[in-house]
Amino acid sequence: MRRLEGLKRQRFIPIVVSLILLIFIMLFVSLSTGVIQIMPMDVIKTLMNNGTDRQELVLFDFRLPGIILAILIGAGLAVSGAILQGITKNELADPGILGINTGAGLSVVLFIFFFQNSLDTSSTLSIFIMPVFALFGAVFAAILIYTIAWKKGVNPIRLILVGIGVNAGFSAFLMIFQLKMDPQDFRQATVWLSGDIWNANWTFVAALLPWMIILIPLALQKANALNVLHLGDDIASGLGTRVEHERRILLLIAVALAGASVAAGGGIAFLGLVVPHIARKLIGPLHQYLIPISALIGALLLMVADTIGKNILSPTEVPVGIIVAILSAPYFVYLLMKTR
Amino acid sequence: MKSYKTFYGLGLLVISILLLALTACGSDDETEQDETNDTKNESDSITLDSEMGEFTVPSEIDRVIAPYHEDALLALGVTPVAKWAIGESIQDYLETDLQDIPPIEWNMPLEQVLQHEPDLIILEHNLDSYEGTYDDYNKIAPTYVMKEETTTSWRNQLEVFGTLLGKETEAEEALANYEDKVATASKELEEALNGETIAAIWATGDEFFLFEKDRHSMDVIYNELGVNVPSLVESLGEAEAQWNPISLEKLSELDADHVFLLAEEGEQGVDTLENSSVWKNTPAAQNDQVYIMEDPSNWTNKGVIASEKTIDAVLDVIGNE
Repeated sequence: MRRLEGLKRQRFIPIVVSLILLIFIMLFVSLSTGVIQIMPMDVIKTLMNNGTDRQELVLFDFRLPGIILAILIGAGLAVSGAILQGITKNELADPGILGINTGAGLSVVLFIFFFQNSLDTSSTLSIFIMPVFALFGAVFAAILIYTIAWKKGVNPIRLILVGIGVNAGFSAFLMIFQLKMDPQDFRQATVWLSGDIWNANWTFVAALLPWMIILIPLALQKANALNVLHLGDDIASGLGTRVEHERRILLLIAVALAGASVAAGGGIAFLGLVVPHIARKLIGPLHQYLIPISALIGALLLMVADTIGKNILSPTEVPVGIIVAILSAPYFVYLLMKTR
Repeated sequence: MKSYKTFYGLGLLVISILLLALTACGSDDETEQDETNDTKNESDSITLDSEMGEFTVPSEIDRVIAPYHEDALLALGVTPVAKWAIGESIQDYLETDLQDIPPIEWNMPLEQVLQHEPDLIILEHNLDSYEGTYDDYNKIAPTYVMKEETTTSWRNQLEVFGTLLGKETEAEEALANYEDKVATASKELEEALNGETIAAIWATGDEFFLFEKDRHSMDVIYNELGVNVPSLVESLGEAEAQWNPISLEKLSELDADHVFLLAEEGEQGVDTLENSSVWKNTPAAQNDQVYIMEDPSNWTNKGVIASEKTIDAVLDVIGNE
């Protein structure tokens, strides 16, 4: 066991380094593709501060914020998924399936629906308020799931089943409000709910960055608690862990990560589900390794999906959530067939 | 444990670099913007009130983008560099003038806008529909955001566009010509209709939308041409922002003498109506006064060209009887 541990640890650094390398390569590819042609050489030139004004505008103001957002959202959703799979001990858990994304989505749609006229939703203030609103929705969904699933403590399987139910309920509410919107807003909401990195600008990056900087390291710090929880409630409490207490804190972290991600990227499905699986295949189940690797893979996957979505049907943009679903749905089916 | 502390350090390093880059980018933008604003203020002085405050009209405008408001541009004799589109659907009634103009997606993706190198971008008051923010578009070209009344009233829009593009006389002319057209048309219709009523139904996706009395083209027909409103239309009240479908049963109560049925070729709804016994008993169907219009786009839009086309269509069918 200890030897295996050591082996995994040896693999950790190379995997992290190669993932970071891949992210940098993808950053470069993503910067050089788009409606406006900018040659890779010109991208380098512009990055070195030698580009034309037009190239600077496209790269720094239009493309880069979107890419950074993709990195942050991808990492956030992946870590959220990893934590949720850990505390529910269920490999099919994911903020999307549990209704946390929908809760956040519903809250944002309500925000757009009620405050559209009184508050300019593209103003700086509302950009910073939006993640907070999404967080409220996500936390509300989580509390609802947690209380309904409570029966002298929370059984992980009940947590999942209740989550699926709450998800269906929220989806229905979302539908009601969407049908009440005028066509333009309806279309916007539909695109957004299928997952779309919209309004990609530096203000949004600045609104999301603090959440990720605080929450992901916090999750990492709780890695040991997750490892113990993963052994099962009985063993965990036998080892002196305050099971419910830790579970609640971890749930809150996962929910906050998902909520903030949804505010910026809409309901990107499957990402939080698939990425922890891939990470587990690479590094095993220990969360101090699993969480950073998940964050990196999530960022990479969303960058790839974002780049594909922007270019495959150019000039029409395909919402990134749809690309993620297309890329990961086959894997999901494979997973279902294997786990029965 | 050691490795994961190294990771921590690495992460912090990356984040601090990112933050540095962020602040650097931010300050760059501000100085650039200030410079461009200064040069603009020197060269010209025409200003106009907009949703975003005072707008200084740029001195030379060749390339304009005003998505969904091409009608007003064309009425002033200005051809835009890109035309509004949602995927494949465009404003068909303007195609005679816009055939060779490339489409741009309705939500104005930034790079697509930049690709057309506009000198002026005109946007609707509700900026949420667009992918970028006002600041983003302003970095591409001077951006005029219409006030709500400019977005919704095509008359006001024509005047505002006239001032923006230095085409005030053209705007006045277009408005005057339109009033003339309305005057002669309403006289002709009054004689031909003799108090009879008109209604318009839009059939799309096997759903039916009965135009309220102030909806787009029917606003022209009822309120400007003075045609009588059937009581079913009257009972619908004023149009809301969204289109509300009407059931076939309700449609059977339609007491209009003339019905314009807007349906693209091969529309399912036309068959549905023709096979419906309740529909066959409505006065318009019994007297063979249902007219199918195969291009609904000018009926479902607002603008001087759209309104003129609608008037022509009505005169064409009813005026010559």
